[in-house]
Amino acid sequence: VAESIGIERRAGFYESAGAIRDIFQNHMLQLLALIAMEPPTDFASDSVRNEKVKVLRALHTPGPKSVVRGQYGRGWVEGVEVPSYREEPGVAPDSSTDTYIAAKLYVDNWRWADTPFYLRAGKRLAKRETTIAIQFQRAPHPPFESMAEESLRPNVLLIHVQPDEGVSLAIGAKVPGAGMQIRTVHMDFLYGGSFRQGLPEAYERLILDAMLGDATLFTREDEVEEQWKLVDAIVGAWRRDTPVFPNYAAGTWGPAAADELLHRDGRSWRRH
Amino acid sequence: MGIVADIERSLARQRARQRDDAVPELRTSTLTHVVWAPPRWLAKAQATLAGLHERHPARTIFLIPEQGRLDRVAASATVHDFAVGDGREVLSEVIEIRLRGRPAEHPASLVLPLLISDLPAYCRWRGEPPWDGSALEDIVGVCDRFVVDSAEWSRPERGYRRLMSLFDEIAVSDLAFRRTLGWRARLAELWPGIRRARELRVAGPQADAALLAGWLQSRLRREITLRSTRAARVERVTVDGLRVGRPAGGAPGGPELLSAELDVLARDRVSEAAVRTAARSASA
Repeated sequence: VAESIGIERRAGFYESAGAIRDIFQNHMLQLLALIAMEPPTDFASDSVRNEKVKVLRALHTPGPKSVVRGQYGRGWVEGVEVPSYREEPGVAPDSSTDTYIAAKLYVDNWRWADTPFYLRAGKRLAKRETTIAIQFQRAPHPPFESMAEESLRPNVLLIHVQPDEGVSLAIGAKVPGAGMQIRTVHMDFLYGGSFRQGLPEAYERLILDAMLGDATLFTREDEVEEQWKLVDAIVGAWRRDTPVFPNYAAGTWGPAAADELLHRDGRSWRRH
Repeated sequence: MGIVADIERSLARQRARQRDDAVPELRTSTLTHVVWAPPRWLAKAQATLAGLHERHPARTIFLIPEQGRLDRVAASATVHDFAVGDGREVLSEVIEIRLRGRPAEHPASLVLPLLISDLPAYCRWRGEPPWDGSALEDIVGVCDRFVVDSAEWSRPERGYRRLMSLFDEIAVSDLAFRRTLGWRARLAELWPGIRRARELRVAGPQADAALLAGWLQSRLRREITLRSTRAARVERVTVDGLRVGRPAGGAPGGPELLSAELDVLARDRVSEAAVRTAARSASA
């Protein structure tokens, strides 16, 4: 969940919340639950929420080193110089509030055992984008690898949540011609390109559901509690040390430590 | 809403309009093509792009640094459709961003949000890069391949040393080297007779001649003296007095040269060795 904007005069709220409570605790963990849950028996609100809460109960992070926090410094966003977080109006000049979080999580159940889930969110990143990327496992024996000029990348299913809602499949395709080159290409489906009617605003839909008494898209109390359990554990570990902030420049993709988090596993963040 | 959102919205609107003509459309991009084109290079860069669309459907981002101290960023975006046979069309997106003042030193802040996810980004830098400027560092940090034409530089032999310093950061292509491909093939045909070559004479652009000599030296692993005379394109090559046959076919044009480089993803070690040798020879 990347945002290019800063805190937009919400210093009072943001100073006490940070990225972990503003976006990670609710939006990101809900997206994770929706992706990892088993298919519900029907589309009734409790059937969906029962499946989500099972995922949230099974969530854990393997340790403090698997969570990275950050705070933006000065930088350039879309050709405009922007101040650091600590220079925003209403923010303490020595604030240690996180404006960025990246985490590696596991869902301890039969389906997802040993499958890492990497999440990241932040303010003042390079662009506004919310995407879920499901990276397929490498084939046991990729026959093209020695011939591919770039290292053969796994196929990826991309679910674009915003700004352009849709689904893409990033696959390795052979470059036409006599040689053997594999290059990543996209197959895109965009809602805006396939349907004429516009999508309702997020709150438009929620308010309508509230009036209709449909709670499917609302978070149930037990889900909220499970989400906070994870967040409290992370925040508890953070309280034991003082972060060195700022640690990423506005307009970039976050702190170097977030890249290292994936490099340790032989992976890298998706290129945007 | 910022300038990037304006660009994306404009492109989406134009794509929707293009769909209304009921012709099957392929919105296929194989790369993001960034072009750094100061105003005096812009017309040439646009002409090259016109010859590229069909082979390399891409999102092209022209970065046009303009004179002026006041900070200013202005952008326009257009969608072009090209018939590719069978009644199909390919859509290419062209974005022009004019930069003045400090934003011209920070182009990555505009390029990064406009890159197409997961696809390689190539930068064609027109003219000689300002080697110590932050604009170059910025672009190198966000692109995968950096394409120059050292024949566009005032003193190519001086620039090669700076170009070399980028080799470990980004894959580099020099169109001047690509232009010599036909002559290199002709020279290779002279093997093994040229195994102990001592002198190469080239009538052609200084950059092409230096890279041709750099290539021959690095392949043969021996010192070869280059004697060059200026010409608009390589017209004559001799090795130790033996005239090398002219390559078949005409010299490739700008779109063909660039197109060939856009097919290459990995580092080109042969080209790098030629640049290194040309730089070494220039300082000797």
